[in-house]
Amino acid sequence: MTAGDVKVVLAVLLTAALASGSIFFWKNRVPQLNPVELTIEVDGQEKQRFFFSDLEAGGQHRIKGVLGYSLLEVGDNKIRMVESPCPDKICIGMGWISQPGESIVCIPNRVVVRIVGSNDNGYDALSR
Amino acid sequence: MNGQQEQTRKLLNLSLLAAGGTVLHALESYLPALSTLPGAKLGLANIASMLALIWYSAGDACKVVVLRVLLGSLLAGIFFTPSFFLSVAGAAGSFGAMAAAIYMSGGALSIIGISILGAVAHNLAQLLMAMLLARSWGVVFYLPWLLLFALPTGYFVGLLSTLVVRLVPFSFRLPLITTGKNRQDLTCKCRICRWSPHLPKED
Amino acid sequence: MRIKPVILVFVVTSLCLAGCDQVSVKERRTEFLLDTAVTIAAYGPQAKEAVAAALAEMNRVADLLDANNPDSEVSLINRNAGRKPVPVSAEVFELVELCQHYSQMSSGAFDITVRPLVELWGIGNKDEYVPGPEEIDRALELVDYRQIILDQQKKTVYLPRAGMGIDLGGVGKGYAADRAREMLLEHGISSALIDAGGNIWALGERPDGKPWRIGIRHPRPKADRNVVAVLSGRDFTIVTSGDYERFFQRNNIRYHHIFNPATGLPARGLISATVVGPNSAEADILSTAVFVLGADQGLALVRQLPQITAMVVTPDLDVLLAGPLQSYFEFTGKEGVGR
Repeated sequence: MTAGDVKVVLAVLLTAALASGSIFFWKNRVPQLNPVELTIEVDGQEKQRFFFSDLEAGGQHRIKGVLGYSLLEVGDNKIRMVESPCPDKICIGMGWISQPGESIVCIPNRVVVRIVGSNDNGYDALSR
Repeated sequence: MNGQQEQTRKLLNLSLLAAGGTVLHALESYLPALSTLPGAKLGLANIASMLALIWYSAGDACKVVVLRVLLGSLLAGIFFTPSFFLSVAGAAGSFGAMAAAIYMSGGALSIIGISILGAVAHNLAQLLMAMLLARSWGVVFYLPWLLLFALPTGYFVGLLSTLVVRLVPFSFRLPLITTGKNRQDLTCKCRICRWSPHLPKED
Repeated sequence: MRIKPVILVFVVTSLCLAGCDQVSVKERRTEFLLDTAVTIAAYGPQAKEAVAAALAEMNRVADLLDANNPDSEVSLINRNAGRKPVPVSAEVFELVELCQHYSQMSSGAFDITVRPLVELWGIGNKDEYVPGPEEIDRALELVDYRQIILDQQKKTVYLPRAGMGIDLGGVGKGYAADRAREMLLEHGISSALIDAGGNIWALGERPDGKPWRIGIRHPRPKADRNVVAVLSGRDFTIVTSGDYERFFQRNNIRYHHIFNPATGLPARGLISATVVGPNSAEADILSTAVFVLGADQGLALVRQLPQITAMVVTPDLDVLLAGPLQSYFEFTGKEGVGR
């Protein structure tokens, strides 16, 4: 093999290393850096989107729905509905949600709180 | 040899290369799979493209590649199936890379290096085509493996090509193109490559 | 010049990486229909159009089947109970026939004529209360799928007694999901998730090529645990009926919205029944039927149907399975499987 050949081999090795490195990062970084993302939809429109890590545990979050204000409580990487103007309070009964794929749905107030971004521990949708 | 004879010989040799490439391609499909990775093949048919490139011009080699891919797919019954497009992508990629390497490397690369580049491009082109066909970027995760895999397969194909270039009698060959150097400069000088059972005496 | 091969490799690599993002287009939309929130997420070049078409189709189906909409064919049938046969579209007729088929198979555990019962209990409305036995008996006289008179030739549906009423709520979400799937397929979508209020159609596989993972809600969730099991697979629909979706409590007794047409009371044998299959309307019907029939009879029914898999949760939180996909359930806790 000539010196040029050796350079080619080194270049290929370097590219492979870079590619595998970036793939490794890309695969592992996504769930680690934004572990869980939260979306809030009102009447079918996405109104807000944020990462759990940006929310303060113990804090509360108000959403204006169709009927009035729904109140969310943020826990340690989980969230639940604590107040809602809807008549049946099913959304409050849903309790805490924490896994990607889970959602709190308040049909009368048209509010959907959804945990998005699927990973292997979670699931893509919930049959209920 | 007069011009007429030379032309006939060239036509004959190119046809032989195309036929040989087709046969190698078919033979390889009978070998057990080297790995479960898509596209992880030896790429023996690249020997034909390589020899055509070394002995003749890029245009002639292109004809050999096109013939080989068309014939090979027709014989394998994969014409215009996804495998066909993968095969076209691979052949085009490796041919393009090897031609570019031969014309542009200025003699810095031996057949081995050229062949490795060809194998890398072959795998990359197939990966790209697979992504297009599957409409998914999921296969990109194979990229590092396919790159690494191209090293041994490219080396092996380069080695075989080197041996063929050295063993085939000179009367078979025609003066070589490349950047003013003759074909010997493309063969590798290392111990492995120099080894050969009956190396014919060079002219 | 020597650096060229290296550049070549890098250029090809970066081209390939840059080109990939364009391939998968994602569209997700939520709409409120069929008394629930419907979300469709689709992947593919025509995702936007496909999701719009699927939601439009689901809206059409919802209007067709809504018993509370005075203009729907179902309301028309109910208004003319005891008066005259009502000609209906082929679509509604076939749906009623499908329901009748499974009513027979389940010996009436699934019954679209439960509407008088649902109205009596008023579950989901403000005026929910626990009716007395006489009231229930009176309502039950009007609940009998065998009394529905279908005319194949004229495509009419007739409820022979005044006060009878049909409610396609037990099949509507499933049927709408099936229709939505058809629309997505017509638009060339091969990866999508239709969530019709927990009625899931997992179309194709995930855009990353992995199987879809669908969680099944735990009927009595705890803080750290919301699902009983996760089902992995490609191209299937999954429907769960539970006593937790719509209910009220009086004197510590839970009164929910799935009635046993034999007793007129909320069904008590199970707290959750999940059915997996290739057709959401049938899975929807069967999840109700299995829920009402209870573990033994319900799973016996499922075993008669080769394409159907079911998972049920008993009031003691025992988990039981039947059907071909049993091994694809991944349990998140230590609930016993089998008995």
